[in-house]
Amino acid sequence: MLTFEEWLVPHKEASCLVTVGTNALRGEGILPDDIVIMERGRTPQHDDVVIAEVDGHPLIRKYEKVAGLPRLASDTGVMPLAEESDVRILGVVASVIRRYR
Amino acid sequence: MSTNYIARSWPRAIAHIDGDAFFASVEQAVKPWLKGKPVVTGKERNIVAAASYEAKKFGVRRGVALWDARKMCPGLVVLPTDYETISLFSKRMYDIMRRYTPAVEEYSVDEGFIDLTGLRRLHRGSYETISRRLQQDIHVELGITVTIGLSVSKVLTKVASAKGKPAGFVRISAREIEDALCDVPIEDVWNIGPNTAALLKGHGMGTALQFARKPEEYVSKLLTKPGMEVWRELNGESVMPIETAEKTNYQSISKVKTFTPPSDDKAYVFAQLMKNVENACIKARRYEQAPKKVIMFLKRHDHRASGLEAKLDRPSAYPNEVGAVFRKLFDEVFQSGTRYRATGVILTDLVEASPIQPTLFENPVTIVKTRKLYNAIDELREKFGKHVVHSGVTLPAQKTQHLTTRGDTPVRKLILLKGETKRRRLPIPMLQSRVC
Repeated sequence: MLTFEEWLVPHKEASCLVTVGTNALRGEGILPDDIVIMERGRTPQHDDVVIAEVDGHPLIRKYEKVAGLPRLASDTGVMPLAEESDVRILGVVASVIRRYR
Repeated sequence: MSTNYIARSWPRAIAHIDGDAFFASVEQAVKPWLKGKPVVTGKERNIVAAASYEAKKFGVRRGVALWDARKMCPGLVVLPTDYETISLFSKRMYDIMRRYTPAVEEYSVDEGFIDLTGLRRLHRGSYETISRRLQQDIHVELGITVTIGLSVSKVLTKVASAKGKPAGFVRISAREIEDALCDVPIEDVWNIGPNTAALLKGHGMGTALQFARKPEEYVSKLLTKPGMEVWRELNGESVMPIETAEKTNYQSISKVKTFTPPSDDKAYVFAQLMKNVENACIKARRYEQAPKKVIMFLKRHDHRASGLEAKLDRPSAYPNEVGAVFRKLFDEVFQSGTRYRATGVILTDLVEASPIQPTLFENPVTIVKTRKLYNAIDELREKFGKHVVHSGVTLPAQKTQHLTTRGDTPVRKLILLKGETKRRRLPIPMLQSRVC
């Protein structure tokens, strides 16, 4: 039997909690104050939700690859990932959790 | 022929995994914007508990006063120690090691030994490949670095990892021992204390290699058993076991706690002492042990310590019973007008707790009642946490250990998710910034 925790947090050692503070992925169904489970050390694939560090600020975005070129997308726009830009993918989001009470 | 060679290179394969500036690295892992910046922890004690490698470059080391550290390293980030997150990372580090072998020794929160002997076929690779894979797993999944020393005995793995700091991998196979030891000062060898080092130096053994090359008969005249074990281990013979079992009994139990600001209030300092007594007794009872002898000491504002010891009439791990003894010792040591910064207790000469005989002058009924009382207290503690029930004298010390100013509480302690309480939080580290 799979426990609820194993299901939400499939790779426990590599996972950490991240609190969301933005509406940038509202279209994805991710809202401010949601908790997401981030997995470190995973190579992002097209359409993954990722936590990225851009100029020292952690952001939550969709990772997309269009014509082989990676970019970070939100509801409002896209940011191409140029090779020289100061962007680090911290991890890939495995699940979103929202408690109402 | 070739199998022979391998057997001689690796009669045993032991790895020492050592977290690099562990406390500071963990902070950088949960606060990614601190990567590459000089970071120290220990804000709540005003002393550097751990320094990141960026801070070490400025000469900031463990034990340096924060005030000095800030002067040595402008832009230093100073954080309180986040024990909760540290222990989560420590547990994960050991969980990753256990993917490779069940023979894991949790030597401390940030360094451990594992035995890989015989696992090459299972993991399809050389001992070096397996160790490097483990190191990679830790780096990638935890976002912190460790140094790994791989060798044929525990002492040699410590020599190896010391050479590899930080984030390195160093291998010393049985055939590489001589090269590895020639530049290692004898005082840097694990389990060689300053006195032994001085003794060996006096006999012309300034390096680990000079020591290891002396004949056994010669060395055994100078050293006792622990020293001889080090000599054997340096010569590639593994004699110190990997201690996989959790500790089930102790030689002695000690509890020392610093408090800030220092105090000359007698009731408060005694409360601090008795809190340590309660904590030490809890630990003793958990392992079903009781001390025959107790030691207490007070540390003064100027870091000088004074203390006393006493034999108990009967072994006991109940604060109600040993409290009077500590009261007497404390009254002798405490000097009014002196400010104290720490108290400590040591329970020693521990024996098994169960078959304890009352002395002639004791009422057995009282003893049974005390035992029942503490069974109940221990049960309550399991359910509701430490110190839900405590003796009245510790009341002045229950509230705060350190007078905190803003920023002295770890960030994780300040965030409560829905459904979390102060005592019960999710056992997963949290990235300590809301993502935008």
